[in-house]
Amino acid sequence: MESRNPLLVVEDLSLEFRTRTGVVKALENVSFQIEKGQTVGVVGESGSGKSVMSYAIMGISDPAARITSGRIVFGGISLFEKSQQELQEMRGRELSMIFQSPRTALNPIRTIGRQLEDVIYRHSSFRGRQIRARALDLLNQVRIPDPEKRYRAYPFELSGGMCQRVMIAIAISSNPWLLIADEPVTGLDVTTQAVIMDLIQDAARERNMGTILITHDLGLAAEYCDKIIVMHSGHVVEVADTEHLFMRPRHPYTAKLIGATPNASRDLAELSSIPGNLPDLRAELPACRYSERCERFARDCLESPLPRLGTGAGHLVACRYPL
Amino acid sequence: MKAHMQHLRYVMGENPVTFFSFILFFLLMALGLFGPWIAPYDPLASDTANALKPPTWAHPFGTDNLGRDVFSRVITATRLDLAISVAAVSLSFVAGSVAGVCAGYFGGVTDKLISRLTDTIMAFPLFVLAMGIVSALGNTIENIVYTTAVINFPFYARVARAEANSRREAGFVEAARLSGNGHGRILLFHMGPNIMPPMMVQISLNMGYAILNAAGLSFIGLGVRPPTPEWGIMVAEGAKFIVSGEWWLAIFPGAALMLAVLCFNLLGDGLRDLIDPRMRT
Amino acid sequence: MKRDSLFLIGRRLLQAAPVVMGIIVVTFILTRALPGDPAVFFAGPAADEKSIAEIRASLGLDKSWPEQFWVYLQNLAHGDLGKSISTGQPVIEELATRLPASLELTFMGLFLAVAIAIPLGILAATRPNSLIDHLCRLVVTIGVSLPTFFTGLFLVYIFYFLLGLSPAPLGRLGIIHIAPDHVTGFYLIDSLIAGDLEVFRASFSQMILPASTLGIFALAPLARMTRAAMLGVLSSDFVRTARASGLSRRTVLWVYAFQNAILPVLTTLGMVFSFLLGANVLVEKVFAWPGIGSFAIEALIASDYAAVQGFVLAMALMYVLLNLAIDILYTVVDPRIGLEG
Ligand SMILES: Nc1ncnc2c1ncn2[C@@H]1O[C@H](COP(=O)(O)OP(=O)(O)OP(=O)(O)O)[C@@H](O)[C@H]1O
Ligand code: SF4
Ligand SMILES: [Mg+2]
Repeated sequence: MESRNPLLVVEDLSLEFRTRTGVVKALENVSFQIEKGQTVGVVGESGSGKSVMSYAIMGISDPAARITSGRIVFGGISLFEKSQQELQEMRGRELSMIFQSPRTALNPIRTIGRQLEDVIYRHSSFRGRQIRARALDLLNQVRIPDPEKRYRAYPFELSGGMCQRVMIAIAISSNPWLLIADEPVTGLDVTTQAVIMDLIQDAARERNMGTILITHDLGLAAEYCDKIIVMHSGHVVEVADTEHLFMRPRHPYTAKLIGATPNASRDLAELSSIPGNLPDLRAELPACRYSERCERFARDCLESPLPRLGTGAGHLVACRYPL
Repeated sequence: MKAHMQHLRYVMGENPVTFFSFILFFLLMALGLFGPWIAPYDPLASDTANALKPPTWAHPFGTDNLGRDVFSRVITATRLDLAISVAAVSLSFVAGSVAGVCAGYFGGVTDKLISRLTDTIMAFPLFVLAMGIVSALGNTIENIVYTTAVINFPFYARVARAEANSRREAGFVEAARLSGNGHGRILLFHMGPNIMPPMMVQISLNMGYAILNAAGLSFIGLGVRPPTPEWGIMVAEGAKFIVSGEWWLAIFPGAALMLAVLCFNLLGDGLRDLIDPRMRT
Repeated sequence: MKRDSLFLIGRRLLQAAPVVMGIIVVTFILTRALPGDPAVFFAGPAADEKSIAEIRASLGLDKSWPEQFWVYLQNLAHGDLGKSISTGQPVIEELATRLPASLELTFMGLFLAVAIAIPLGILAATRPNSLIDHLCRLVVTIGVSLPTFFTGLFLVYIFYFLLGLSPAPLGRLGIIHIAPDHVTGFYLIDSLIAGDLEVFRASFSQMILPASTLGIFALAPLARMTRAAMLGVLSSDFVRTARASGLSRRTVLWVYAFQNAILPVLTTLGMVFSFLLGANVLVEKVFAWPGIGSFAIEALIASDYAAVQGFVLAMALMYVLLNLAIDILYTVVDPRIGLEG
């Protein structure tokens, strides 16, 4: 499964925020990798660092963020060695991202056509009429009915599902190698969810595009992802192929997650059945950030370094006493 | 209460500017209360032999064209300037609270009428409206107070209305109503205390504006008459001498005015941070 | 879209009607419905019995209030604001001849304020906690606390008395210059039309201090709002999207962030204008500027009643007009406007 030249390698990534109330250790030693054309799911409760991690990959972290260790290698190039200018040019061209709540993610006072044109103008050699033609073509690709008319619409005139299609059109306009979708269907109704997910999947297949799908919905992850990364409080606690993970979860947290979502389609967001709270990321933290809530806890779970066990076929778990 | 004090200490420590404004506030209060006894000279006593003298140790702010001590006049004026604005702000606070709470609580026609009234006042450039009202009521100090109260009324009415409106359906109001309290009691004992914090912020933010406004009116010759010491009129009288270089006549009372306004504005900002940290900009 | 905008603008005009009515009622109350005898007021201090009686009849003060209000409305419709006692001229003419001087000054002040406040606010928002951010906060705090007349006198002392850079604060033009032919009434524009650069320069140097005084006054609220709006927009979802799509920093800042941030600033501009119209009166006094503010002050001191109320009415109507203009601009800039109202 692991290839010689993966699309994206995140290695030992640690990131913290300097805030007025203290240093928030939002990510610690995060590692994983993605192959070309692979769809990888990232799951975990709210606040586990999924968005922070994707912003770090995109290079659009909050100004308060500091990367304290690790590297991100994309297509064989280390991103931290790139200049701001170079990163800016890669964004939207080689790396793209779409977000939750598409209606606020688009500029409210600019027509969607113009917003699409802005990105095409930036990343392609199309000029003049070609830009519009390309933009209409993209709107067709994301199956927006009557694109000529929608072209002049403002985001507030469209439904959430339509706006998310526009976001996808913007994101795939330059045929990127990697698409990060941060909870792309949260807040949409169920039928629209399926339509949007299929769109993303089709776009990825056509382009052999790597996809990171961040979601609260384990069912969604099971259906669309080849591989799943489980995050908890800024740690990657388990990485495995989708089948392996659901058949034989090794980390106690993963097991709880799967156990707590019996039909594997309930939303993690509405799930409060995992007892205990997420730790305060500003405090001194033990090696295992799940230890306070873990039933298998033993004293040496607090000692770093926590073993990272490979259990065959790319199944990794960060736990002292895995299941 | 203890948490409040802690938060207060935190805000003060975080923000030396707020601390500075507290010092200034107490200084102003002291001058307002004891000014006439602190002033080294009689603010009205002229001494033509010593007219238009620049600042010296004997006269730290110099003397004016009649030889009066500018320092004593600036200090004595504090009471009048503060009295005018405190009186005006109190009036608009009381009237605005009552009107605003009624509008927010009863809604309907009451609300429509009161909102129409505040909108109409706000449709005027306020200082200009003040000029019009003073000219209609007559040129006296009391009328300056009423006028300043009228033009500040909408600010209080709007805040009180919004607060009352958002609390109309709140649990404690409902509970009070069910336990047989009349409208009057509910408004006075249940709404009243709850709208106080935002109203306090409004008061301190508004106080500076009230002072500026009253001083502006006396600067153009309304209300206070010479030789009464008052900052606005002192600046107006000193203005003639600026072009010939006798700056101290106008600059010192002007600076006193500025510091007073600054003090209340800073206090208002600090108080707002204290009561609602989210409103920070 | 075009027709929608026109419709919205029409509706906005209709909404202004009750406000204008309110203004007229208030000025009516201020002129007629007061304790004491308005006829005595209107006639002025030097009037005798006979002229008071004449005025009472001409104002229709012997009639009932509704009738008087009707007469008042009719007079307004004809542009009749009564006669000024001090000059003997119709108030409306007095105001009209002085209005350009005031407007030129106010617009210049507003222009200066906008030209400084908006860049300052943007710089402060894009560099939080930098030196420029602290400078912005300082300007905002001090700016709202400065009495305009004090700022004006201070500037006069520095730039006229100490440095000698500015001409004496005595009106729109020094005595050696002759006003340009009246076209717009704005000296800066009229002198250019007449091709007289010397007068242009002279009127510009007369204007720079009073305009700066007004500018400093208007600077604070504008800079504060620009900074806050810009901060809000920069942390919004759609700016994040724009950055994630690799749009250049310039596009993100100007096309995405700024165009959205300008909307609340536009609203603040209306409020600032209201303050400016008041501050203008004070500045005109300090700089002996022959505008409607100076006229109103003289009228106030002389108890020239009709003149003062005419002034109040004119200013209020101007303010309504400006707010309308801002709203219309808003409608054009913000496509969402139609839905909310
Ligand atoms: N700018 C910031 N400053 C300080 N802390 C931050 C900042 N951004 C995120 N964090 C913290 O980092 C942690 C991870 O946040 P993140 O948004 O990545 O969570 P998430 O997994 O995406 O959650 P959700 O499912 O709710 O989107 C949280 O504890 C959050 O408080
Ligand atoms: S390391 Fe220990 S505490 Fe942490 S998840 Fe594994 S067993 Fe539980
Ligand atoms: Mg997130």
